[in-house]
Amino acid sequence: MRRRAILLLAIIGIALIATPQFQATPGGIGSTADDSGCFCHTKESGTEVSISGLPDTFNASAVYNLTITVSNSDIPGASETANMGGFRLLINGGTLDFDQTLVQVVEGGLTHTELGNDQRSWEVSWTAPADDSKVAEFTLWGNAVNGNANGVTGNSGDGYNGATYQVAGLNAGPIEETVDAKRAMVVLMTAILLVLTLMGLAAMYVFYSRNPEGFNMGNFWGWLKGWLTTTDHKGVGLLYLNFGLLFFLVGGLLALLFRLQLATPMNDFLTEKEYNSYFTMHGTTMVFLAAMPMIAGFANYIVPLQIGAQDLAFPRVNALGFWMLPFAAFLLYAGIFSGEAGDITWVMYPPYATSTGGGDMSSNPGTTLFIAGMIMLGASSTLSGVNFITTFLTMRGHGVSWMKMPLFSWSILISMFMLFLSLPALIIGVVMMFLDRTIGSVFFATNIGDPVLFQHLFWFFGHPEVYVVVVPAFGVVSEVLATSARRSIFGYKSMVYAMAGIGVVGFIVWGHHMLTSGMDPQLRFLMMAATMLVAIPTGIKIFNWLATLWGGALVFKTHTLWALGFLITFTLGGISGMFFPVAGLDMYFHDTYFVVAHFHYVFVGGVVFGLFSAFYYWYPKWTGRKMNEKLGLIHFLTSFISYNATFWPMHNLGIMGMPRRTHSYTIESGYGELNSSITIWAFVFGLSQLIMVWNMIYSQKRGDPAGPDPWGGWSLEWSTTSPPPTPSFAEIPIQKDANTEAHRDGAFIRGVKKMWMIGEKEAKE
Amino acid sequence: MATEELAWKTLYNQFMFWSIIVGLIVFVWMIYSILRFRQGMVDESTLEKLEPGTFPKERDNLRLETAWVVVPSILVAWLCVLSWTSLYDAWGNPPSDEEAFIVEVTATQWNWAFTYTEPIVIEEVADGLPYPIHLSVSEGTILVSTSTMDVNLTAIWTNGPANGQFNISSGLATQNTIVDLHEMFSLTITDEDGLQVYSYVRYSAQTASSGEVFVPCDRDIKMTMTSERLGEADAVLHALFLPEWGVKEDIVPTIETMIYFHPYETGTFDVVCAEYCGMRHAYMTGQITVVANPDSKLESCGGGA
Repeated sequence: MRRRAILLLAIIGIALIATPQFQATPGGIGSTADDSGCFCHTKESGTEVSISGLPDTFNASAVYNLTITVSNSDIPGASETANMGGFRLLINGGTLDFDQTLVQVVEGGLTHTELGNDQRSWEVSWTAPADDSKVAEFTLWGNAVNGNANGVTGNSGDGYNGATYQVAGLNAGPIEETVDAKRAMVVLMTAILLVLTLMGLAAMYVFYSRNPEGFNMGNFWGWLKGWLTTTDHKGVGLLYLNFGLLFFLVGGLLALLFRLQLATPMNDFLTEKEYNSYFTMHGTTMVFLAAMPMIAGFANYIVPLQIGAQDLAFPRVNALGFWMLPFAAFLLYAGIFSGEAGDITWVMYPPYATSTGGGDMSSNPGTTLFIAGMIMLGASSTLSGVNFITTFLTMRGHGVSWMKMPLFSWSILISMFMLFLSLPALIIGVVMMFLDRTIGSVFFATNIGDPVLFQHLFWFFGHPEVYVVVVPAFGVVSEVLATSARRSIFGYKSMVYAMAGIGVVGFIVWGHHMLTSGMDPQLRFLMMAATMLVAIPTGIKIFNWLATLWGGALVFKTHTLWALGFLITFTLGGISGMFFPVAGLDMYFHDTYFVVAHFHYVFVGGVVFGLFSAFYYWYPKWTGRKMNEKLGLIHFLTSFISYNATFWPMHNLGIMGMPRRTHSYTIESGYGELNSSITIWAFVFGLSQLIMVWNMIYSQKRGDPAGPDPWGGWSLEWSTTSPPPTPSFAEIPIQKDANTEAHRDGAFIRGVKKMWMIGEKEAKE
Repeated sequence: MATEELAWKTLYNQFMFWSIIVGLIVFVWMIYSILRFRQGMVDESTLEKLEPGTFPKERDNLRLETAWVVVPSILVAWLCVLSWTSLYDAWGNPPSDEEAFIVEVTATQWNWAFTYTEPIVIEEVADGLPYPIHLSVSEGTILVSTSTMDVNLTAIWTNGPANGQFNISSGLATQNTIVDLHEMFSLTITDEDGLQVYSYVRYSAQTASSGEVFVPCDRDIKMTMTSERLGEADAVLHALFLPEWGVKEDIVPTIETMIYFHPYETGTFDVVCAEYCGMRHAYMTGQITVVANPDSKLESCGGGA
């Protein structure tokens, strides 16, 4: 059995090594990068380019006559009057003199003129630099054509190649091998490694501080191994939370890098390729590696405690689900090592995402790994879905009936159901895309396949995904507001029905993301109406929260502030969401910054604020100590203000017409001022998150001790110690019910029954 | 369409109105509750008690809850009605091929190419020219007339590969030459100081231009769009976005999509790509110029008066 498993693994390993063929040219041949030529040609190794006449070492200010030659035996030059070839030469020192009818300077490099196109060798004279302790470098790109293109792009008999030469000055030292570094990529990787190292050191410090005398590496490893192999829902939950927080910071760092790029018009802080992969990685990281793991973390830790289960139904599957994430993350980010990370946006629309072999016009080679990472994320989420649904169905404690379950647990149940039902669409889509890229299938190819099909598959997952992450935030806010108002939630049953309603309607609204994608107009109307329906259950939830506050005795703790902040920003995000299903408005706002503003109001103002509230609310349960309220207040004020100052002006940019996913914008467009201000506030928002991280570290040792129930909550997790023992309950707990038998149904159900005269018969009998 | 107000602006204002009302209700209600019902201002013994491990006494009110199902439903229904018309305008009512000025758009990475299906004339007269210039072009003649005899002007014309020039020294000048109206025709007139006083460009049907397009004012404009491959890369998605008229539609490689709009004013506006299409997506821009239409009755379109 084991031998067979090893054999299987070996086969999979060999297959993985053999399938994806990565090719990373030094920046390819682009139109603006330093090492570029003309992007309309294709690379071909048959083309040979050379410079003759270069000395072995140069003398200061001496003049050398150089001949640039391009040849390709497969592509004979047609005639003296047709195009035969071209070149581009970049030098880092000295000056060039040339015949201006044949050769010209364009964008800082030497190239042929229109007339100079009709030949394959060009004469230039090079005056060496006055400083002979330098090394002069020549980068040459040459192109041979057969003249059939006639001014338009032809793709037969057309191939380019490149060569570099180094000539040292008389007094220069030996030429050093230089590595072509991608500067911003290096910055990013350094930052990630730095964060990982710091996390390792922090873990070591936490361990050390527990018992300074008995510290040695063996002990430390033993403790770390406990964390790495845990299957306890609390351990896995904390791993999820730490993983999510780490990637929340990584994703934020990426955002700050491209905010710098957008701070001024026509900026070139990042190259176009870097910008495109950064916003792609930002979106994917924030949704799949930050928000989802944080929610999974809360669900893991809190749900079994709330429903009175000793652990999840499948603890090892749970750990497996988590440990897939770091590897998925590695796959997603792997392309960064070659400077060719995925640049297909988080929505991954083909045919761009499946286009390979077109150089800079196609997506980066790292996209293949990116898609492989997406498949792995899908597998991980499916495992959690199975696990949670089973746990809810089979492991609720005594007295925890469906309609007596805390709202946070309900929200996780609904969110897991939605995830479980919508994921297959995404996985099918990305697997098809993976095949398109690797073995040349044509599911989404432009001439045979259907590019719009992927959009349907993606958004059939993608829109429920929005609710998958936002519904748990609803659950958190329901718990926090009721506890803070020191009373029960208003309309418990309608809250549950509203969440379930969102869960159902959420599946038939995906088309509003595709109103301008060439979809059938009849579908467009259906999607428009269905999307507007979502406002009704969402409205019920907001009004119920307000009714909970009404007449309560509100206590202002940090988690209360975040929940109230959520109420404000989520309402604004919900309202701006009503603008998109409307055909006439969507034609304008789709893919502009108005969309960017809207979904950041929902994702950050909704999901992240809800999760921040949860961090402050349940932190005492994990550590036995409360988080510092003063730091919490500072965190809330700085974040809430800078958050709104960052994202609100994006609405204005959208109304001005700025499209999203753009590397830069012109000065005349007038987008500059708002963008500069957004960038500054984005930095404030990013930095203010460090206050919370510091608060978590600080309060771990110095926070006020919390009893089992520091905030006065009612659900079962507050009835055990903080932190809870393992297994979480020695025996299955019993949840009592304050409603008397006569009032068991609650006014809502009684009202409905009365309306339909149900139960009257029973009463008579 | 009699209205010159753009559909999206009207809708935006209507939605903004309802948004502000909903927002005000929520925020006023919320801020009042926060300020009025704080700890210490309410007798806590009247509230439901929360005890760990006990499901608290439920609190609900069927009438209230029904109210905030029914009222938002009515609002949503009303908003649906509002947006229905725009759906029809945006996609359900394309102008007929006979009436509309049709431009074929070909999107490649990362360039817009426009092909005209009927001729269009762009006429420019220098500011403050004391006399009008009238030009008529037909298959065999180019005829320039001015209302004054006291002029000394030079006209330079090109027509496909052919070109030439002639002087206008009296009020009327005729050049007899074969003009091929299937080719682009352009003519500029300069005065004795070499300053340009008049220019005339006529794009014939099937002329292609890259990055900029001219359309007549006060006519339904219809753009049919396709995406094409360039080199080894696949054809990819683009979206033609004209912020001035608030219209946008994806360009999908396998199908032909279209947008239509109706300009009421002359001027030069942006053409933007709104669907991510690769490395230089941000720089896939162009210009659309609305030129005067003598058939129009609108003053802002250079007609009527």
